Amino acid sequence: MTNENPTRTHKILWIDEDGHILEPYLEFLEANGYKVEMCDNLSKGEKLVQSEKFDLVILDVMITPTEEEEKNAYTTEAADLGMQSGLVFFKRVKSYLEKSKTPLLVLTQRIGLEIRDKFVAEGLPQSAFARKSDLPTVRHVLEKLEEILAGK
Amino acid sequence: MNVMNGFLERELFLLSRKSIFSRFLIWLKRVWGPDSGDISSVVDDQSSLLESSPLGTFIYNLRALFIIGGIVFLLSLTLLGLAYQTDSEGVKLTLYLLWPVLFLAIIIALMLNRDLRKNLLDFQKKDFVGLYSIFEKYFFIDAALVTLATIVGKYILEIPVESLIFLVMANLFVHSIYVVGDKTKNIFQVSFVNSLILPFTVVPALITWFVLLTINTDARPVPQLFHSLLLWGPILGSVWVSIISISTISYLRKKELTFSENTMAVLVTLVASITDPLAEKVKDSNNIVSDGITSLLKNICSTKNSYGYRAARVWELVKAIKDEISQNVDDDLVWLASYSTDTKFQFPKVDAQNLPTAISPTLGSYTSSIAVPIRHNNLQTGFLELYLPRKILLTQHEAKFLQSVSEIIHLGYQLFKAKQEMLALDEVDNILDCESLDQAYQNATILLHKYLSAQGSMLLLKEKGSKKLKLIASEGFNRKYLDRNDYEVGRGLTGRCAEKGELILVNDVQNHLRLFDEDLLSNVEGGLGSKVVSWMAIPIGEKDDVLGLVKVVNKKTGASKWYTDFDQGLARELASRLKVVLDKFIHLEDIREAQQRALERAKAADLEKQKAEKLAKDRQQDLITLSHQLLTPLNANIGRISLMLEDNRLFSSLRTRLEFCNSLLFDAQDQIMGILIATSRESGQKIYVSKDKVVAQEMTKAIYERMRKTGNRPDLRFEYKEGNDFPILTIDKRLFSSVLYSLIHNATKYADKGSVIKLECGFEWSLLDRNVRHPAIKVKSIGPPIMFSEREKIFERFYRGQSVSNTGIYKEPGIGLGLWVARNLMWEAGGDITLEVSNENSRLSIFVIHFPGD
Repeated sequence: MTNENPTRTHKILWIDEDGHILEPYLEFLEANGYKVEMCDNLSKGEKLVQSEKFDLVILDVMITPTEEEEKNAYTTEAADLGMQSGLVFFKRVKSYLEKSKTPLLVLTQRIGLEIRDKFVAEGLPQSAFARKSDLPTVRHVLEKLEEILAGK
Repeated sequence: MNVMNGFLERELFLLSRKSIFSRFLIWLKRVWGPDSGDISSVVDDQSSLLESSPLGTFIYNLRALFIIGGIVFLLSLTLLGLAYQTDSEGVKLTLYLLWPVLFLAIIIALMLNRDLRKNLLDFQKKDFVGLYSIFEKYFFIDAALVTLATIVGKYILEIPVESLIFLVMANLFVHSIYVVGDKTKNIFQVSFVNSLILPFTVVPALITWFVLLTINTDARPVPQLFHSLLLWGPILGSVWVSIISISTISYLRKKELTFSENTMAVLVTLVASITDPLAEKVKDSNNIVSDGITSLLKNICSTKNSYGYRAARVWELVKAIKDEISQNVDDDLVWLASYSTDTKFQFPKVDAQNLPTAISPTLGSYTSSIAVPIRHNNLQTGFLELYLPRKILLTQHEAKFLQSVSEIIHLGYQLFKAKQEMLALDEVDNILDCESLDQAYQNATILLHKYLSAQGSMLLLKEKGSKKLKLIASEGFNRKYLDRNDYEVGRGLTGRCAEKGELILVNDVQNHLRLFDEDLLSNVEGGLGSKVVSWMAIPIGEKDDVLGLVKVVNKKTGASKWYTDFDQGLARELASRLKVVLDKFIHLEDIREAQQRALERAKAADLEKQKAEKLAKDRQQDLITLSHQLLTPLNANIGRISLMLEDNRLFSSLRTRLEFCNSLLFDAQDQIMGILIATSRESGQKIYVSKDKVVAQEMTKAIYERMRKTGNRPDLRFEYKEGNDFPILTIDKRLFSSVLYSLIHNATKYADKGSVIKLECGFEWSLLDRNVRHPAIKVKSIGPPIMFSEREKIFERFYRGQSVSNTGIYKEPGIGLGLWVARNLMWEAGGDITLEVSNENSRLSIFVIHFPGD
């Protein structure tokens, strides 16, 4: 494992409840100069986006809301939006992301068009999506991030 | 004078109406009283049989008068002879000659009396025709005796009896009337008969008369008064007979003419009274017959005609149907119609057991009556009764008239009945227009009630698939009794009717109880509230197609208690129409039931389909969910291994193993992604398909190199060939990877040992537009043949080629998903996959991946 571009340091917020599975990717990204902050719930992620500056935010579409989030209407609102809690999150942080010009990469295992259409309807470009199966290896992930950050 | 005129007219009338002998017998009976015994039966000459023939009666009476006159004449001569107390031989010889001749005439008459009776009876039987044979011989005998007496008296005994010859002349005169009046004789016969008579009567008489006038014979002397009586008695008698004959004939002719005119007028009126009601529209067709016949009777009793009938009544003799069932059933006498000019007139009762079979007048003071049989085809169908306030002297003409009337009544009856039947059939036809079975049943029972005069009627139908007969409708019964009856095909007469399809009629049921099922009949009588008298069951349909039956019991009072041929006919017509209606509705019902069943089946099938679809969807969803769930750890492992492989410090052996592991995981990922996309597509989900730039050679080689590692076919070789201008493809990379994996996996699975799998990139003509070529990759392999007919089927889910299936020669395990997945993925990407089967080499199969155009 080598640091191919150690001079570059990018701060990334990765919101996914399966952080333990993502461990190899985090390791490889950090080895390649990325500082990745994992976040396993949406409200915390929401606060982080509002309070900190990130170069990129990676969001998993489906994150089970916490009890606190349920109180915070995530569940109800998510239900209204077709159970995509990630979409609720996006709607809430969209203005912050636009203000800070922070790109968002939405990762999903889903292959359907419906989820994408809803995000697109909220103003997210199609290119901001990636199927998880399209990025199977750590290098695939690294290349994808570099591609996004290069285009920022 | 008027009294005299009346007397003479009456006597003249009676001379042609009533035998003098009969009148004498009646007079005797009146004088001697009722205790005189039945004198008429002893001396009855049957002359009453002649009363229908005025001419016959007149001739008969004339002969009687001849005898009586002869007796009076001879008695007068005898008295004169005695008064003169003379020994005149002339007187003696005259009396000695004439008395024996008279007695001889009487004796001959008595000797011929048996023949006369027989002839009169024959005459009666022959229906008022043929007088000739009755009196002809008497004319000859009388003429012969008188001629003989004259000749013997004049020329042998020499007594002055020449004027007797006038009696022969009178005899000839009356005989001429008699012969001409006999309708059986034509003019030739009359001339012939007269020419025969002449030699015996006229010629001798003329000769005698000539002798009397021309030869002056010395007759024996007789007293003057005696001679005068002897001379003028026969002359006056002859004159009297001639006058009476002419008067009577004139009288009879006059009467006959008047009678004929009346007869014609009445008959025309009667015929009109038949035709008029027939032309009328009637509301209540049930009374057509009685109204029509009543109208006829009204005309017969009209005061305009001269018969004097004041009341009339018609009876119908309903013949009981005598078949094997209804045996020993009496005919029924049914009052049909009546009319009386006097509203207070009471018709007498009729003895049904003693019906008049011939025109029979009954004498009485006021209510004399005439019974006239009504016949059809020589069978008596009823009779007409006429009541009149006069003594009846039924003439031949009147009898003929009444016979005509009876025929007109019969004709009217037939016509009215036909009209009634026609109207009834019209009403029965209305059943065909019924819009529902219930309406048809209701109308049918109403018609049975109306036209068959049934006290009770019911409709029974066979139940499908059982022997039961279901009671559909009834009229006139207390239903609770009927509901106790379990009617079945074959049970009782009702069941027999349904079984055999035969109409069954039983009149006089109480005398045929053995034919009936006791329980069934008991409940019918309970429901009816009375005993069943007449019973009829009519099948609806014929032998093998009996749908049910109509049953009627007890004709109501006012009509015959028996069911008749007419009833049978009408019932059959009704049943035949019910059959049509039932067929129609049953057919409709069948169609409706079939439609209902079809709908239910379709509904069930739809439900099953929905269930199956839901199940399939659930399975699809399960598969999709499972695929998702598999992808997460799969990706995690790929990620983890890929991280390991990034470490340059790895031993090559470990690297190789890790790469092998990763290849397996990629194979799995290709499979799972393929199934996930194909299944999601099939479930109707819209799939995201990216448009990646793919270098075919790179990807193809990467995949088959990977599969060479993971597959268990090291014997196979892969050859990649690409045309010069083959473009960079625009296709979802992830999807394309799965397609390639499926096709290469399929090829490596079935390829012959040591064979080469060729992957050729080139161009193919578009399947949609034969002018356009698009990029295509062919995957060629040699292996078990795929039949030409399987070219499309091979892409169906779970379909496996015949040669490789579990029953095929090259049996290989598999579930038949790979090619289905590959084609679905290409369809989703806008392309296609087809199979080319080589004609030259059936073992060569070429799967062609058609890429979408730009």
